[in-house]
Amino acid sequence: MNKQVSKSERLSALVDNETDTFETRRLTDELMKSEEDRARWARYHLIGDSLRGGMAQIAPADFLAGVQEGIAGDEPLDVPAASAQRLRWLKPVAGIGVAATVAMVSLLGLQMVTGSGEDAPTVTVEVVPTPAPAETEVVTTPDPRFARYLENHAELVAPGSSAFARVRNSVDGE
Amino acid sequence: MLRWRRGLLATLLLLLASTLQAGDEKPGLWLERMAHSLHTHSYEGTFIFQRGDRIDTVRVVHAALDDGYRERLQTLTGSAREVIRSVDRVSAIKGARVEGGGGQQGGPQRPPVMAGMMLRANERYDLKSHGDDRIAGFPCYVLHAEARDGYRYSHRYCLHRDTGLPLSSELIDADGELLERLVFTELEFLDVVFEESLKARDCDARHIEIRAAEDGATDAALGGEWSFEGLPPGFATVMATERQFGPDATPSLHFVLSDGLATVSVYVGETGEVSEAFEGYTRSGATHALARPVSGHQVTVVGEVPKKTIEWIAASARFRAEGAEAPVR
Repeated sequence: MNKQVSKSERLSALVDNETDTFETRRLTDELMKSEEDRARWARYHLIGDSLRGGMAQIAPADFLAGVQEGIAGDEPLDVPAASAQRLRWLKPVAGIGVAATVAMVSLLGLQMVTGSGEDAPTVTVEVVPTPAPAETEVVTTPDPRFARYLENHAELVAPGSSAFARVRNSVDGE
Repeated sequence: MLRWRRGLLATLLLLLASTLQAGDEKPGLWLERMAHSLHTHSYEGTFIFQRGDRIDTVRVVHAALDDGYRERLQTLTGSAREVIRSVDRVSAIKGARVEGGGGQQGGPQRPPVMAGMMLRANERYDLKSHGDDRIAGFPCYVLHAEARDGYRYSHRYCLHRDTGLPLSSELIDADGELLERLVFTELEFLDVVFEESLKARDCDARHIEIRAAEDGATDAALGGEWSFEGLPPGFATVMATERQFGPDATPSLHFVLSDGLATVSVYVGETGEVSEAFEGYTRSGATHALARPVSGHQVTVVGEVPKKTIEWIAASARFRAEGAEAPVR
């Protein structure tokens, strides 16, 4: 079949070592010529854990240092076999080892903010609850328990194609 | 007189039918076509998924079946990851509750979910046509569903002219900022989907099955103790199931709320000890999540809606203890 393959796909294939020798040489030539392509190629390498939890995180500049610190100060990983629940939320990152686990949890934690906790809307039984007022976001200790809910919700709306599947789920009742 | 009225009714129905046939440019009908297309067409293709400044490329094989659909999703960029999904059509309809009057206490209704949801989508979103475009080599119809308030995001689709399948889908916030974008770069409609193409290539593939509960009584039991009072405008509970996070874990209740286009999950689990409860907020792109303890339970709300909507929904959750007359928080 005749398919139009985009530049992104070709670069993705290159990143994944899925190109043949000819294509690799051609893409390498193109990379040498185009700064934009090089940037994209570099980005693809950085994307990493893309659909693993389907999350887009914006890491602060010192994120890597934080991860390294996290690894250095971490106890040896000891996941009890009986802890099925824990294994469950670790599952999406199980394939890429401890460092990535730390990265995943750290990223989640770094993004976790609180402020609505203590002063949560004091809604009693009223017809229309008042939404919580805007509060200052304060970075707090990471709580990986969020991960399993985000993951489960992503399953419902389809990992990687959430926008697409969200329509299925809501409009078509599926 | 009666005959005249009948004649008028027949004429009106004929007019309505002809309008529906000729009015394929009407945004509302296109939204319906889009929903319909997702269950009637099998395809294979590649799409780009953008969230913030991240871009991923995903390969998808989608097989529409009489009783649901199956699909295989595989990342082509970054870490290799593969997901095999199998969704039973009945599971979504089962347990669905359509908003009626001021409460959520109506019994399961099946299958009017679609009509109800479509209606609500039209009420809460301003549907507009923006002409034609071309994506993955196919002509498509540009449809905007603009949020009428700040409790949801706007959607922009480009729907395949022949089938209504969304070739692109975008999520936009109130400031007009793009939150998520999915665009097919290559697509082929399939008459036949081979079993082989739906099988996992990677032994680490994640298998997700969404099936209807076998126990018919579950519907009645679910949500009996929990209700949502005064949800954000347009939102209603569309699904209630039980989720178990691990074989030994106590099942959590999982409510799915929607306004027709946006989806919000509410998880309710028992917390045995106070130390198990947690409270906080997190976000990931357009997805916001809020956790808080309510009446000895852990309530976690997750959805692709603004933060204030998540907060409102979390505040709407009410626990009605067995035997108690009034709901308590």
